[in-house]
Amino acid sequence: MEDLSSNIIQESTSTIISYVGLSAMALTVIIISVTLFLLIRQYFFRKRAAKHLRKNQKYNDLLIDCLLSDDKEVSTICRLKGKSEKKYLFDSVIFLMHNFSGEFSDKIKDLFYNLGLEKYIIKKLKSKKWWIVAQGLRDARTMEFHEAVPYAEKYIDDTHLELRVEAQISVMALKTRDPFEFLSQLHRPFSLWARIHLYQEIAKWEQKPDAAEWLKVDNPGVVSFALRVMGNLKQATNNREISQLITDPLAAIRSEAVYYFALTNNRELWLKSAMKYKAEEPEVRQRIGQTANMLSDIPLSMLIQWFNWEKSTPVKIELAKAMRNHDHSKDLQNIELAALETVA
Amino acid sequence: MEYFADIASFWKIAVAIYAGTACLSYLIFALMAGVALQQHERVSETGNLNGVLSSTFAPKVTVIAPAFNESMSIVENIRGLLTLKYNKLEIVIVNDGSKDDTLQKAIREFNLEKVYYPFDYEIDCKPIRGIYKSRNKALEKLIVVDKENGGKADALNAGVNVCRSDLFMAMDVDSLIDREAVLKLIRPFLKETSKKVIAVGAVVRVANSCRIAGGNVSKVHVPRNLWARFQALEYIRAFLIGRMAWKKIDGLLLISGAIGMFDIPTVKKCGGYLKSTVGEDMELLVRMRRYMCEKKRPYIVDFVPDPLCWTEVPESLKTLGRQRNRWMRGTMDTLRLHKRMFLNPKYKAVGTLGYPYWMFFEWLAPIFEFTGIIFFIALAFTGQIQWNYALILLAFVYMFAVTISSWAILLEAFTFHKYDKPSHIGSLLFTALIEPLIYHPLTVWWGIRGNIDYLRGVSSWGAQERKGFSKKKTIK
Repeated sequence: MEDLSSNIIQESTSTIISYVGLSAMALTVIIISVTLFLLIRQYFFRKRAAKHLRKNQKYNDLLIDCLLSDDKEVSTICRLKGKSEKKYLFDSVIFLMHNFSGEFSDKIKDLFYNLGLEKYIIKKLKSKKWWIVAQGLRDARTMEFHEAVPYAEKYIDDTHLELRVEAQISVMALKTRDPFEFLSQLHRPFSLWARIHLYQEIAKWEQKPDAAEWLKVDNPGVVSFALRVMGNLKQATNNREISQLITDPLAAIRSEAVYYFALTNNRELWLKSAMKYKAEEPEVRQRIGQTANMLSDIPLSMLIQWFNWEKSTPVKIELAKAMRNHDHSKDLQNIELAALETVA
Repeated sequence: MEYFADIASFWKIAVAIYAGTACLSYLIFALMAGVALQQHERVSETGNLNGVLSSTFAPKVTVIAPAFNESMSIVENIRGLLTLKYNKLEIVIVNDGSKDDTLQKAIREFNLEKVYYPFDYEIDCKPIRGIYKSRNKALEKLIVVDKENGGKADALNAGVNVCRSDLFMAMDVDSLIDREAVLKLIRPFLKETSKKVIAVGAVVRVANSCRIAGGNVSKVHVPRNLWARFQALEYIRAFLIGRMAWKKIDGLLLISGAIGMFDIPTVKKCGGYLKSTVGEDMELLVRMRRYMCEKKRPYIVDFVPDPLCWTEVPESLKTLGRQRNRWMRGTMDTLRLHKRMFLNPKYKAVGTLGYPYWMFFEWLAPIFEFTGIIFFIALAFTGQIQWNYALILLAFVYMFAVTISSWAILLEAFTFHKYDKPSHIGSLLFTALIEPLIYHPLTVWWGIRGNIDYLRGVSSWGAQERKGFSKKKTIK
């Protein structure tokens, strides 16, 4: 019995040894393969990068020649069409489009459609991979490819934030009727990332949209965005309608509303917000303090009263700055500095 | 003798379980890191970071750089920081009671004057002697804080008290920060909507032997010094595999003190950096995570795999040993302070995975390995070793270590491709081959020393020796 058990142990030990040995050998093979692969790739990577650069340069030159020549319809397009490497051509057109404007960009667009390169955009838009669709949407915007709108509308509330933002910008940029309709369809939170990119697009437009329309949307992110856009573009709106925002349950919206009042020089509503400082959250109080400098004729008595009541140093600092700006008397500065020194 | 055999068989099983778990977790990390890096590459292609630069929607950010006896490099370092790409930026240099002329040099070079600048001591720090701003309006974003010496954590706390932003980027003043660092670190803060982003980390790389121009790395080179090269490989492995995998699991416990962006209200609510520890960077992040979990607030800690910070690593064994000793003490201290998180599901992935991993594979690993070696020697003397089994096992462990390092080099080559010459890759692969034989045993020894020093109550940072970038070949 003892012999049997020792035999079993010996056998199992030798099995383990052979497994471990095999694993060690497999790892050795992996290491050698990785090493060789890396070194070979490094070599070819450089070669390929140089080739890409050469090809792109070639197509860039060819396209520029084409754009500068008058008989582009005949000879140059034929030359370009004759090339099999249309992918390089597509990349070059997109690249040039980013670097030219005015008459040249119109010519590039004509050339793009004449060569039938929009099929690459459609191919990307039909992809099942979100990052490829995002790429397609970017290209569609660059080439003002309006047929991309239905594709973009599919993704305006997508789970992928990046794709969502690309789709929203694309709808805004390419849709001719109601380009902001999608704002009322957003159920997901409206990130700062999206706001930055959408505002960037709006800034390019000659005719700005009426952002007051978006205040009716349920999404608080959209309301904040609307207020900022209205403020930056100095779009005044009905006081009765907007005064409701002073009592909005969300501090972020109240804060944004205060900023809007200051930007549009709406002293009446700004004061209405400021007067209820005791009931406000520090975030909103700080915003009121920050914007106090932007308006004229702020009652000094209110600022002093508030300053003496205030506990938060950042708010106190803002109020002190406002007081300094509104009254340059020496006495006030001394009071203010003495009070601030007790804080610091 | 029988008693010894019992211990031996128990130890064999323990080692097998430990080694098996370690290998499996490294393997999972390596795969997860690959996926996470691929996802990052796709995400980073979208959007326009330059649009964030001048946007009115972008939040204000403060860069806090503590400086202690940095007279040699302070001017260059501040100049480098002033070139950071971001509009709503404030740069706070905290002179932590330097004994040399760090402050005087900054005052002279940037035309600084003492100003009245109110602030609250919201989080604990040593008294601030004065706040300086430049008379030159073009340097309005620069603030220099002069305070009594209290250590790095104390200096960072002072910076947090003085700054007037929503976010701050903590850094080492002697590190080189990529010009787009703020823009890239802020991205997760702008994107996340359903959870609060409390901190974002980035990859730190080794700047030894690199060419530096205008406060930035202009040409990347693998370190010529062997010890620095070991660390270069270790940094690639730790940041590209370890941190990326932990980010994916949502169990990241450490954001390097050399670069990281934090949400100021959360840091203040947590009480800022802990001054009594030498691992203040890890401790703060663990405390922030603990705070958010206890308050039941959804949050996220993100990590950007872009190499945004380049640091000079020790080139002598003595300094390197001191650094590793300190890191070990910092880890132990953090784990001790937050022991209630251990295997506690209340703290989600951090409590159930992150903490146990750090405990077993960061803190206890040198102890396991060291006792393993001792035991191996004892078994060898008593003739209880099956040499064929032992040698094959050793070969497996060695090969496994090299494979993981090779994978890290592969990920680097496929993503950021900073080491672009075949000779660089060759050099790193060679380093991977010799690292388990030369460098790893030393890290085990330094880990043991760290454990002993921690138990002895040693709490010093240990003298740091740096050559400094300005002393090297620089192009201005």
